[in-house]
Amino acid sequence: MTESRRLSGRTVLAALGVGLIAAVVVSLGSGAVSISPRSVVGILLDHAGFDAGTTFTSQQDAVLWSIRLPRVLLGVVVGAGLGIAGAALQGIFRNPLADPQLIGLSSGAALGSAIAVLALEASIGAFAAPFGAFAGGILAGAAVYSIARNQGRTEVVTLILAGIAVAAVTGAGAAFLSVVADDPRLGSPLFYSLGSLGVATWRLFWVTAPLVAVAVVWLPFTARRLDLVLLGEREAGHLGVDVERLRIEVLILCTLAVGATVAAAGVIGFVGLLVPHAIRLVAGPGHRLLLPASALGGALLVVVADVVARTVALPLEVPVGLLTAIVGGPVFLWLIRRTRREHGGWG
Amino acid sequence: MKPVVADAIGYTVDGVPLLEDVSLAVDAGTFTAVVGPNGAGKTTLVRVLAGELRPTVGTVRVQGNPPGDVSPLALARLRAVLPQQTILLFAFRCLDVVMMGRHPHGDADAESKAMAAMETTDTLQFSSRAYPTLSGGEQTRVSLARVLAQETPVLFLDEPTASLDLSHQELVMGTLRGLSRAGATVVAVLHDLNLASRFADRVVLMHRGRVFAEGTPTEVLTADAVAEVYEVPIEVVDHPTLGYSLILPRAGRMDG
Repeated sequence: MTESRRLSGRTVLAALGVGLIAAVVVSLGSGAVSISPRSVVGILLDHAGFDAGTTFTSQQDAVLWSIRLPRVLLGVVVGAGLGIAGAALQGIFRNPLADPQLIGLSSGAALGSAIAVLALEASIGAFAAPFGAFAGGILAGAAVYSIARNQGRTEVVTLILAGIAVAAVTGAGAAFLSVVADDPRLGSPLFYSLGSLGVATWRLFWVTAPLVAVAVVWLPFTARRLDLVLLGEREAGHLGVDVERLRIEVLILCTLAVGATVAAAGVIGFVGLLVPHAIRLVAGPGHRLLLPASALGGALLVVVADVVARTVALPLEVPVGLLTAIVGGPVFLWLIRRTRREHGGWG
Repeated sequence: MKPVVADAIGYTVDGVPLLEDVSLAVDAGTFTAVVGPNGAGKTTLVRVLAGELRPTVGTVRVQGNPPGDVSPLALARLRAVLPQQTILLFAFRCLDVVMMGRHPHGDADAESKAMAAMETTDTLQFSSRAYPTLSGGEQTRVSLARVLAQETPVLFLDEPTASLDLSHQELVMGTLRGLSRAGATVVAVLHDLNLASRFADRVVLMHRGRVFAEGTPTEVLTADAVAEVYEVPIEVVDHPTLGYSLILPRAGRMDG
């Protein structure tokens, strides 16, 4: 009963990779203009310079290449950033609840992004939003962290309580700005609570992807040290980890990823919480697998949520954060029960 | 060069001295027990010696190096630390936990060294179980295996026997003494004076942040010294057949 049965890392990564590719193809074909998976592959190959011999209309080509592909790829990037940031934050704070949204990072980034768009976009262009989001996220994260810090320990519950407070203030601030500024660049107030991939363009993708990529590539190098931090801050120190330095490193990388996703797609909840817990349940808590698998799993979840969000009520589109919450909430409850059965719950 | 040296160290938090004028020089290949009542500064002393806390005054040297002067990884190859209790919120398997002890060495045969350490602490049977599902005493033994897997010349242990049953107390104390006979320097905080007296080569008796007495168990753990420090009347009796003496509280408080 207590032997831990776990899937191998290769199995998990392969399953998530195949699932993600399938979800991307299905998403690219779904919408008001329907495109078969065969034609989707044909159009992509055509753009890569190969003739796959499939037939498709020029309308299908235009819809797929100019509208859906940047949107789906942005979904991949946003999901990957939120998934890996959730996993890394839970590790560095030794806190199963440390989700980018719950600890105030996402809403701080949203407020920073909104301010930067209003104040800086005219002068520094498309990078104003991710820059402001990063600054806002860092400030929010530093505030929450310093409140939760007491005598060399990070209080698990205080971190979440402070995060909720900071998220409430900054999230409301961002939504307030979007209402009173009445500026189309800020989007609707819903953008700051439920997110949307509806504004995706190739340009937005190219601004967002490199920032998230830095975190996705770099964070796995902290995996071994994050494992040791789970033993305890003192224990990690005894084993040669400079915990304070690692915490700064991880917080900066996570804020970079989360800030970029918030600037591009608003605040999408539950991804950073749900995905790492699901991965841990099937593959264990080791970060060497958890970090890349959470990136893939986050991408899969957001791509699936987005395709449902934009097709379930055609011609209307529902915010993608509604879908991650509707799917994520019940799944998370089930995860809590499974975790309790398998390793004694969270106490 | 003595492997663990404290030179007139003090440690003060918010103006409250937790350690005052503590000097120690521990020989290589010895097992030293740090004893004393609650709040005497035992844990603080071990944390300062291990380089986890910086002494407010005085200097500490581990294997000749002030802990702050070497990198965290290099320090982790000099000394290992067993804290009072390691609580894991995430369900690592016990073998994974013990293999973390090999982190400072970054070697390829981490698994075989970890298994050998688990054999020593009688925890091999838990290797594929999730650490949080073990009992407190079992967790302590797995954590001890992690510390042993670190293979350091100096070991600091904070109450390694606190939650162990009798047979595993004997196993752990015997293991620590065996390590010291093999050349390691072992410093352990102990509450059980009889265990300290039976297994340790040297005893440091702490009282109100200072060293009250230091020496062999028979020199330090006298009825008078223990009675004064613990504020309980004490009887030290030689056991008729076992060949060691027992330290026992007499019923009733001293001036009661």
